[in-house]
Amino acid sequence: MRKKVVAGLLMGILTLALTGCWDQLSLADRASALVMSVKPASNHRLQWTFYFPNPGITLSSISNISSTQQFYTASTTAVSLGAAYQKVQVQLARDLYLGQLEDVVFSQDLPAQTVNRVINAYNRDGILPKTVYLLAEPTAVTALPTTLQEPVPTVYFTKYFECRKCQPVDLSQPAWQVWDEIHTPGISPVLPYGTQRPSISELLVYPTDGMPHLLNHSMTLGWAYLTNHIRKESLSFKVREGLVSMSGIKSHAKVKLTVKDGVLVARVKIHAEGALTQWPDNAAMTPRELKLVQSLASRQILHTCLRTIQFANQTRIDPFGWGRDYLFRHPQAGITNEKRRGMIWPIEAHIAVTTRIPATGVSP
Amino acid sequence: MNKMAEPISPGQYMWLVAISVVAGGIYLWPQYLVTHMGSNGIYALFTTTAIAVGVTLLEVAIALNVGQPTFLASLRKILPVLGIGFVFPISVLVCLVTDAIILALYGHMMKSYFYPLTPILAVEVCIVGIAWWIAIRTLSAVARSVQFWFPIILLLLVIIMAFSSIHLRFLDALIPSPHFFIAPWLNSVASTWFLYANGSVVVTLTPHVEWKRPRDAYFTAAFAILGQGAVLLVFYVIGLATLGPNGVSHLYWPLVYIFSLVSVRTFFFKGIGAFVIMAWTSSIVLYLAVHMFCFAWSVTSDIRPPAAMLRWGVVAAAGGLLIGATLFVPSVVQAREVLFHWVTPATLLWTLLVVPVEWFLSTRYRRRNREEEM
Repeated sequence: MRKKVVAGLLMGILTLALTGCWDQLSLADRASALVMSVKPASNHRLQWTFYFPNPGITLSSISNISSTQQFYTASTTAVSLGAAYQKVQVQLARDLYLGQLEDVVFSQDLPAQTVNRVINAYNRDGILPKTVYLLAEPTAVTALPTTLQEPVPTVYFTKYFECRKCQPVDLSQPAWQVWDEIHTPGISPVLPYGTQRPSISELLVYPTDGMPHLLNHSMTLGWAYLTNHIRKESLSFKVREGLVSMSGIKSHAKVKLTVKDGVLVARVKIHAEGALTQWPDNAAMTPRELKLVQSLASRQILHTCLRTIQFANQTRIDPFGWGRDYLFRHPQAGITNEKRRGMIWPIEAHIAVTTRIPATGVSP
Repeated sequence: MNKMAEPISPGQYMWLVAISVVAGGIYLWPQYLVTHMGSNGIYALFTTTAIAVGVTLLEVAIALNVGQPTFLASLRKILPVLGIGFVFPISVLVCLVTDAIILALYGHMMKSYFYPLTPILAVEVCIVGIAWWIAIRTLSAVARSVQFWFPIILLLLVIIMAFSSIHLRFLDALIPSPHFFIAPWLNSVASTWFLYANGSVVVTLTPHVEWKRPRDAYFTAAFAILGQGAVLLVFYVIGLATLGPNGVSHLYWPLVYIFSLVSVRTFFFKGIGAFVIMAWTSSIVLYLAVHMFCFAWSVTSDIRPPAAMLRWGVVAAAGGLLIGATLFVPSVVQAREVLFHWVTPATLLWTLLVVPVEWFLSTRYRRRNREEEM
């Protein structure tokens, strides 16, 4: 009997204690930020802006309001994430909560060291979600792109990156992955570059230190072909008879890395597959023509990839992570490359691209 | 012998031996190893597992040779004065100190990731409280608890591992370097031994199974240890293949970090990786319960009649010691320093010195007994 009483008491205490609900806070008392943006400010400070969904928005009012009304913001300048948290907390009459954060947006004008510092501080806090998407924007952009089709305020970036089928090229960079790249020698971290339109089709590459380099759309595609980030790309080019288009392109790259006389030699085999969606009306589709189109597509992909590698060599970046991959296979090489953070330049690439067009539509 | 010693099945024995190692400190794995050895950490893992299998087999042999119900009773037969006054207290103490630091670090991990506002002590007291509640029961009751919960814990881990397998990226990072250095290898072996330290609970558990053949005892115990070694290997692979050696070495709790990345947004419960906390809290509770149960049983088994209150008190004292020791752990940095650089190497040294000697004395005891019988 006594044992049962003790057990009952113990269970009761544990039930109360282990739920962890003693410090619970109702949703109305929390200010749950969805997006954090970091921009440069004067005196080596940073401007931190937190975007909170506006709970006053209802389904009926959603079509009448501007995107700026869907979110309210709290902003401050501070040297560090911790200080910014404190300062913004003071501005709010609710408990500032970052556990639901979805995106962290960096200004394009922040140097690599600052971005690394912020990401490191972010990663150190166990409560902050590490699956947030990181991206970069021009400093001038202040409004948050939202998706107006949603019944509740929704951030465009999150929705876009989560929709795996929406993206021609997978450019999403979760915080944990970027943090890992910062700490792993042999790779230059990349962040997707968002514009106000909104659109995300370019990348910023962060060198070891200094300002980031912009990979334009074409070079971003090259990066994606070389690193297996192509999801459903399209290609257009001209033949004698007119315009040809391919879409739904998927590709797979196999990379073999060696180092010869201090040069990183990459032998890349890319195989792309897609559907022919446009073909000049006046030309007939024959096996010979199809072969020609396939080889022209391969050539275009090859050119895009070579241009990207050329840019990487010029700017001394390795957004492909080939230095890292080489070090993983040859851990002993790490000691000699410590000064360059494991990066090996120049990169000499031998790329072979094959393209197959299994589907050519319903007409010849 | 007393009423507590109703026999357990070989299966229950296997689960008990398995939970008595690895289950406590698994969440610290494999950061230290990877920091010091990088992709060569696999060699240290194999070495510690081999030592653990060897030590466990010797402990099974001690139990079978002496045939006494507990570790302390076995020591009394083979090493009457020194065993009771010196070997047993030190074996128990080093194990409890290891457990206390593991518990303290677990509390810090819980605070860092899940309960930022809850005092660490509250988490620790809850864990020790449940462990106490399990440890005050009889052997078969403890065995049934472990037999029920441990497979569930493993199943939960398998589910979470399946979810987190989408993040596996660097299988190349598992390739060991051809350059092998002795010093970091020895350092890693000496510092990760805490995973396998169990204060010779195997000696207490082995006599309570009705073995058909003695070799079944050896196989079952070795299987349990190797099973836990396999769990460590799987987690090592997940850690290295998800973050690479550099990422893993920059995190105190790499596996908690990796499992926290498992997020299914369309699912009702977004952070499905948080299930791992339930698995690990249960496993640390059972781990501590088995340790405390065996120690308390050793101490009280010869006192007749074995008052239940006395065992409750001894288990409570062990629990109190654990909680008390955690109070002296000021921070994660210091706790790790003490665990990796002082307590664990000392425990390994002690185990490697004492267990072979105990085994030698137990074989001599057995021979002498046989001669007397003849």
